[in-house]
Amino acid sequence: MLTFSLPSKKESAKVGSKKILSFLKDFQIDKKLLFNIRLCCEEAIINAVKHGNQSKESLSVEVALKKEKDRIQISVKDQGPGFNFAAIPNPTSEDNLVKLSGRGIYLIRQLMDEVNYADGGSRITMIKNLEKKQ
Amino acid sequence: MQIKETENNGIVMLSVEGDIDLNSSPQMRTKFSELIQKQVLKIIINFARVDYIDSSGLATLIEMLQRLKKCQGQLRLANVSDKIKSLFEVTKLDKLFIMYNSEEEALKDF
Repeated sequence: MLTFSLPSKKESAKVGSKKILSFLKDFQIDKKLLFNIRLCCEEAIINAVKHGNQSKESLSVEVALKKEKDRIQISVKDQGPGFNFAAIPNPTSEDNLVKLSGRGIYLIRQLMDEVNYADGGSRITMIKNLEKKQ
Repeated sequence: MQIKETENNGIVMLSVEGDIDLNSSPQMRTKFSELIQKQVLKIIINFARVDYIDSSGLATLIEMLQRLKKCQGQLRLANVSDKIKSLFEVTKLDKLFIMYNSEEEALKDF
């Protein structure tokens, strides 16, 4: 189990993903999977910083990672009022393809096996099932 | 992120080294603005040394593509790794961007 807290600034995404990858480095996890985990963690932290905590540095983002035998669970919690994830339009539809926002959440949904929201949308929990390294 | 710029018959190749993400996107945007101001309308981004891109980086590329299209310009991507290509596919952005396996192929096709 790994838990840590980050200030609400854009550099926190990299700091957070580095901690997570460092924690996971001793497990035999496929490089592409690690790439996707890094991306989803950074996207979730950026969303928590920008949209949840409105980039107020005094507000923190709490990250928790639980490594189980066959899966990884990562949750990211901000101190904002939460928002409705379901209201985010599909960025892959023809009308939205050139829009500049909305892709972070979409990527998380596509690259993770399970994504849940709690606390009114201020907590996202992402689950990735692990496959044996080839 | 570092950007190395080379020019070949009016086509500019931007060889990017590092991550294209929230932190480095402003640098990409500035470089593009400089090129468009100089009327450079054919641009290749060489991804050979790019290991990571996030949604902000993808958005920056879309923004640059749109800006170039408005001026009848063209943007091409070369040497995109499989990991990054898969993000273009998942987000359907492979419909918008032309990707080549090498910078030579991208140059030849302009």
